[in-house]
Amino acid sequence: MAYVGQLQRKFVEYTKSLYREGIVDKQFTQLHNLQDESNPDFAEEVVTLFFTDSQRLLNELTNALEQQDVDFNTVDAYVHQFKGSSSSVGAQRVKDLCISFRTLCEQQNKELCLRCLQQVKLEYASFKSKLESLFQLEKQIVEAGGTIPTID
Amino acid sequence: MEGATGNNGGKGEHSKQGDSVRKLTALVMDDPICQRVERALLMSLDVEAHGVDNAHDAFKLLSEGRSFDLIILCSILPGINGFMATRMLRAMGVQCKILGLCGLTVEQGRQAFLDAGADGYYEKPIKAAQLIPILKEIDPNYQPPNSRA
Repeated sequence: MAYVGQLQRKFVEYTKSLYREGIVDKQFTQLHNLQDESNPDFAEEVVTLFFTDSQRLLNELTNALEQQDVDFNTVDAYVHQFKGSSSSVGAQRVKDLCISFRTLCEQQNKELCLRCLQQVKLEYASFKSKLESLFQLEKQIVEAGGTIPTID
Repeated sequence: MEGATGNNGGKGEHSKQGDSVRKLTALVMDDPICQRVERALLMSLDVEAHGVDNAHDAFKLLSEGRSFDLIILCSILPGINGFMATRMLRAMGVQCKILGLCGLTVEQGRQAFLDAGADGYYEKPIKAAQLIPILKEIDPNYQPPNSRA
């Protein structure tokens, strides 16, 4: 049981660090609040769905910005969508970058949009990696016979 | 169109004392991720929530006779966007509450939704505190689950 306790402490510390660093916000807490007996893995399922859809959106954005004549309305629509989904899962930094990205779309600045896209990709990759580590910790706790601690 | 309206303005049939209360119903029109979160939130508020990811499927449901107390739709949908979909829902005779959602608040978006016939406009993610007053407007007897004795 000492091992379970160790994992649980690691989980609590890691989760707190994600909030502290602004990787996730209150909406991520809300995903956990929406879990119940009929939907015990809701947060992980939605975030995993977000991973798949984000890859598609980032590919579309890359494609749209690499066109000779960039259609900024199309770019804007993808950014708008990405902001919506990232804010819905509590991916705070990704969401905040999308807000900046949107401003650059309005200015129709291709160069700055491309640079912003790079930042979005990096921030998204960081979010994905950290959340995957968190979900892995959760699995380890459950497999070791423990329960996932709730974070205040 | 038969069946395409909200339930007489959403009031539905409500309980006499001792009878079971009809749950409010909602249709969410949004991308799969946001839809799941919005539907889960509605279900946590004891609202039966259905989801589609495009306006065409919504119109099909309504034309088959389904009706809802509340429709929530995103401004960006594949094919027909949220603003146009709202206009079309009203033109079809849908009278229930319609709420528009967007990824980023823009005044033009707000006005476009309201002009199209929506009753409200919110930035994602929509919160319980924003939904509960709307649900109470739809049904004065509505009580969110946590507030029940």
